[in-house]
Amino acid sequence: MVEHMTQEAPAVLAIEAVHKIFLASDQPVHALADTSFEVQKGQFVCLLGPSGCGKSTLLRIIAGLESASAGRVITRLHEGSSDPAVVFQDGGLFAWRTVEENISFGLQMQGVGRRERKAIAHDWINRVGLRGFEKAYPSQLSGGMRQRVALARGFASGNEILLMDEPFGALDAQTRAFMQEELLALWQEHQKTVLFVTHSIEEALLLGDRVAVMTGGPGRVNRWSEVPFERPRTPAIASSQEFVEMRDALWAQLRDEVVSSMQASA
Amino acid sequence: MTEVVTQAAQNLAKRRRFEARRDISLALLVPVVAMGVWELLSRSGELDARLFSMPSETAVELWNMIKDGDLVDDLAVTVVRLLVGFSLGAVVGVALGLALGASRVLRAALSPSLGALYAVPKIAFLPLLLLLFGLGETPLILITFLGSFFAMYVSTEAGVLMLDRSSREAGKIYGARGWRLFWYVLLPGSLPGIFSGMRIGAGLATTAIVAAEFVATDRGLGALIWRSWTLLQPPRMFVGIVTVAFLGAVFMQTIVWLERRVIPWRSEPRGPRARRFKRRRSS
Repeated sequence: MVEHMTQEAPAVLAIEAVHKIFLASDQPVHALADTSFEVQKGQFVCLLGPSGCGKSTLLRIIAGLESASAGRVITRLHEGSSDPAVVFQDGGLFAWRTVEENISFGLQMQGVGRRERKAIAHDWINRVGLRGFEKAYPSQLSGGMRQRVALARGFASGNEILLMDEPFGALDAQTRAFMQEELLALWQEHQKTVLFVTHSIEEALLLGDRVAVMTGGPGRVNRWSEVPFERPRTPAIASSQEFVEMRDALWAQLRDEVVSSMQASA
Repeated sequence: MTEVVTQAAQNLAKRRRFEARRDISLALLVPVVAMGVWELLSRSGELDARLFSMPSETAVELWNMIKDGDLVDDLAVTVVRLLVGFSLGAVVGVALGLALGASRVLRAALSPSLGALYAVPKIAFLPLLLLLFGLGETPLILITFLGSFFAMYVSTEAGVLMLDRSSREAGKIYGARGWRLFWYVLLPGSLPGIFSGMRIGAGLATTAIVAAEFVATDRGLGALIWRSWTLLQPPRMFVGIVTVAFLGAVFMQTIVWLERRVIPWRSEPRGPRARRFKRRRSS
């Protein structure tokens, strides 16, 4: 359930006591339990957790792709802004549309005219370094290029909230590092509100203002950490003492969780 | 260093041209050799030339039939029936496939019944159609329609259902709902399924019309083949068979050609054509 409110409020996104129950071969599975938190406007929030902890489910509920079994999701956006945009792990690009047409899809659905659409799309193609590939189809691009198109589509659609479901999860390590830098730069410039799901501690610390550790069975948001590094950030912070300490602390929390979930499934 | 690169590039290009020529040569060589062997076996008496008329005899008969206009008449009659029946089948099959692919309720209501009919050889409906409509064009067109419709329906439905979940969801996320989701996401996303259905449907439509023409009319390629049997004219019969083969091949290639125009994004299988496509793009 997604409601819109136009009154001034501190948080643009509020998750209130959300539960999700699945049926897995006729057995009810409590995938998310009593999850509540808020995200302030312009914040970059990371949900960190092992696979199967319910973080993608939570993101899909916020996106409106699945309904919550109980509780609610409230988005407070200024008028004219649309529902959250989503960047999927596999890009979710339309195979039958060129790079340019993929990026401008959201604008087309909002009724933006052809010429304006094209101008905005070209602007974004330049920003994500895909000049010369305007007319290419996704099947002609590498995995990293496809994710750049997906990012550009998310940003270009003009939505205030961006939801990202492990958008760099399927990329090789070098491309991934490069894409993280690109995302940092784009976010720095546009200050969108981002909810970013990942299982990589380093990625969460590099990108996020706040990091939530999620635990599974049933999934819940356990502990929040504020990430203190100054903006604009570069990947160089990863070698700082503070970064290493935070990484170890988050890993200590996650480790217990991974061990107990492995024992549960054994 | 650059010399190595140029040399290697030249070798690769040469290899490519060789492979392209080889593929075409092989495609032509196989039927030519087969007919040569046939000719020899007939002339030496190993094959009964009265039943298996020699390729040379068939060629002469073909030429005569083209000259006096018989063949063109029969071909034209069959082509019209084929195109009308197949077009009907394509329109209804694709529409039904899209509707059932998009709606679980419609699938639940219609899929089991359509599945049961799918297994029935469509030619089995010909007597019923003759009973209903009498001799004439209608039953022939309807049998072509029935023969090709199911393949196009099944393949279109599969095309919608196989469209990946994230494309569908991305459509919804970025604001496409209702008919716009259908028009901008489901329809273009299922074009590969639609076209593979049309390719199969083209073959089945050709099969259906020729089989129906055996018994339900005295005009058309099927009737030509059937008459040649009753009148003991094997050369005419082989002319009819060759013409049907030719018609089927042209029909199929037309759809493949159309597919390439309509679905430029589809990665093509390896082969001479795939290479031409790539080279054109990079230039």
